[in-house]
Amino acid sequence: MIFTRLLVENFIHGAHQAVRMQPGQVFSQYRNYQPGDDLRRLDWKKYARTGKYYVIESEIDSHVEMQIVVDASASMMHQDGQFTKWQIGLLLTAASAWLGLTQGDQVEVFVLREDTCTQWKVQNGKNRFLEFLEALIQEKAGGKLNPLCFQPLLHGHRSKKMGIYISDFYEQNGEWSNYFKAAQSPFREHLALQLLGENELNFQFDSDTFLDLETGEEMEFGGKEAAQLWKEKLKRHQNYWQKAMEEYQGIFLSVPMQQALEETLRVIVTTKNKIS
Amino acid sequence: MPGLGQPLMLWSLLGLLVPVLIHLWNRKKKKPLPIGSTQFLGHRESSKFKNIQLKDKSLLLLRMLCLVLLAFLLSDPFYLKNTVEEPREIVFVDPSLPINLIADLLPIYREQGYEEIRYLSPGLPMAAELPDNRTLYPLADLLRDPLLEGKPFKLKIIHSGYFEAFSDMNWPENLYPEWVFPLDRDEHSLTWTKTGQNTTESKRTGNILRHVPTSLAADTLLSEHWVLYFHDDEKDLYKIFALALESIAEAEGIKIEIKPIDTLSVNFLLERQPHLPVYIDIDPDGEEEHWDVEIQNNRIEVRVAINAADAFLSALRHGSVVEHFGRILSKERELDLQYALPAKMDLPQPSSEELILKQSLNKASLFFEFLALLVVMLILERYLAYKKFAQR
Repeated sequence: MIFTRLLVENFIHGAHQAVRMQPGQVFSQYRNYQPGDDLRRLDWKKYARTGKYYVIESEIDSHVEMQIVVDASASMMHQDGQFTKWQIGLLLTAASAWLGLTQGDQVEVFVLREDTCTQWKVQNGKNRFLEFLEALIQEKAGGKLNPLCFQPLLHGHRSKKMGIYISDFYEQNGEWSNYFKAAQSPFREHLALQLLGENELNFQFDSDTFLDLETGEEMEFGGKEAAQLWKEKLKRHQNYWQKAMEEYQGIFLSVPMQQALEETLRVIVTTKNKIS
Repeated sequence: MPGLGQPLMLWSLLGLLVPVLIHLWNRKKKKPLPIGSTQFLGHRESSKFKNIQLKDKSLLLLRMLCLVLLAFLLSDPFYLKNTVEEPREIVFVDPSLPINLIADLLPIYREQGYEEIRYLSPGLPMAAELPDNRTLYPLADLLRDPLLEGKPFKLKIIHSGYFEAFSDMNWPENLYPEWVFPLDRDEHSLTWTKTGQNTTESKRTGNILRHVPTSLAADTLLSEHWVLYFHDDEKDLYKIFALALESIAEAEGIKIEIKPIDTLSVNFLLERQPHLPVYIDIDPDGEEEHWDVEIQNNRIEVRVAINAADAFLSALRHGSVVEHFGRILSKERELDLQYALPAKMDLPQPSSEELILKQSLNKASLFFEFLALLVVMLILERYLAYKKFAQR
């Protein structure tokens, strides 16, 4: 909790104060006219009083419904260094949720797994958030993704929704692709964050025998060409998702596990602002 | 014929389980690394990896093969003894055999399939006809012929008794002799037989007269020319014997020559048996001035009393065969044993079976050395491959 709060507050220390100004309903401040500004936004009454040109600015109405979806399949137990993807994913989920709450968004968290899929409506308030965190920590990753777990994500009003998907996007039966196809809507924006370990990106494994965490399949792979082949296939996989997410009006980002969480949060905020 | 001398050693084949278990254990030790997905590993295994897999199997097979071979060799297979090159067979005929016997023997051996029949004469001539030169030569010298070098030979030696004394000589490794004595022992031994000393003269005469006619029956008597030697001390006995013989010889048309042998019989023996070592036993307590000479234990044994030694040696030195002695140190009174050896007759020789076994063992040890070298090379190669793979 403390870590999440520190992380988010430290991150939004600047960003939160620098409220983005755009034309809107609620007045926020005046600003000196600059060439190129829309003349309709000039406050003529102020001009009459002061003889100077002022442009009216108002705060953006940024309230969106944030859906943080975290993959709890067995493949998320992939380890790189000290941490697993699942641990990083939980941290990212908590930080994103806190960020959303601090910005006044409605935050929902979904944990997708094989059997029971968990869903929380994260409430504002320190104690409530603490309760949410405690429940979140209890979650365990394992098994395969149940396609039925995606159903609750598709429900909802025609309100602006931003989905943040934290996963490795290693599909068994196109679960993610099917969901994104079904979830296409002008009111939805998707941000797919693919967690990847450094060892995955560079094929740095101290073994030539591998166990697929999700399928349990064992494979042997090694030799000079192995790293090259792995990287090529991974690149193809990333390109596929890049294009696919463009089709589904979303953004696909590869997030190395070692990348600073602040960096990832910045991307989330940028994307959210775009939607707004 | 294939067979196993020590079939119980085949239990050592159970040792094959060891490399199999080691192999399986090594394979199990490779704990797979859990990763998110194996979908990027692809279906194609790299060639390097295939090589390593194959080497694993070949190493296992090699280990097992080593153990199988070891168990097999420990079980003492017979077939190894038969792997020696089949020797070439030559029949050697003693040219001193009776001519009529040689004439009979040659077609018999030719019919038996022996293509190579030679005389034991210098140059080992082919026995196409009856021999010209019937002189006897030491067998050791004859067998030094270039014809008998290198490859193994099985020699069938048809002899009259003279060459038999060579059976214990230092035979070359490639020669396996087989002795054939075509004459009747009793007849031949007439030359050398002395009757027992305890029988009365008349009884001995009776024995001789009873024995000789049977022995000299025309169909069994193979020699047509007999030389009967007798010792001077027993000339009376032999005169009777000679008379008996002469009457038979006349009836049978055989020529019998009777020659006395004197006390210098060692010279006589050396002339007849130049290859034999001479053993001189000087008796320091002997008082009688005489010496005994006889062939025993494949050597000429001379027993001489000490007061007769000088006279004996002097007589020997003046004899025609004194050069057969390497050295004679008998002037030293303490010395009781002297002997001289002809060349190449100094060491006891292994039998042909021992020889074949020795060759087999040599081959087996060579094979093992080769195998060990192969294993070391493979281990080295494997180690290098592993190092390379680990560096990847």
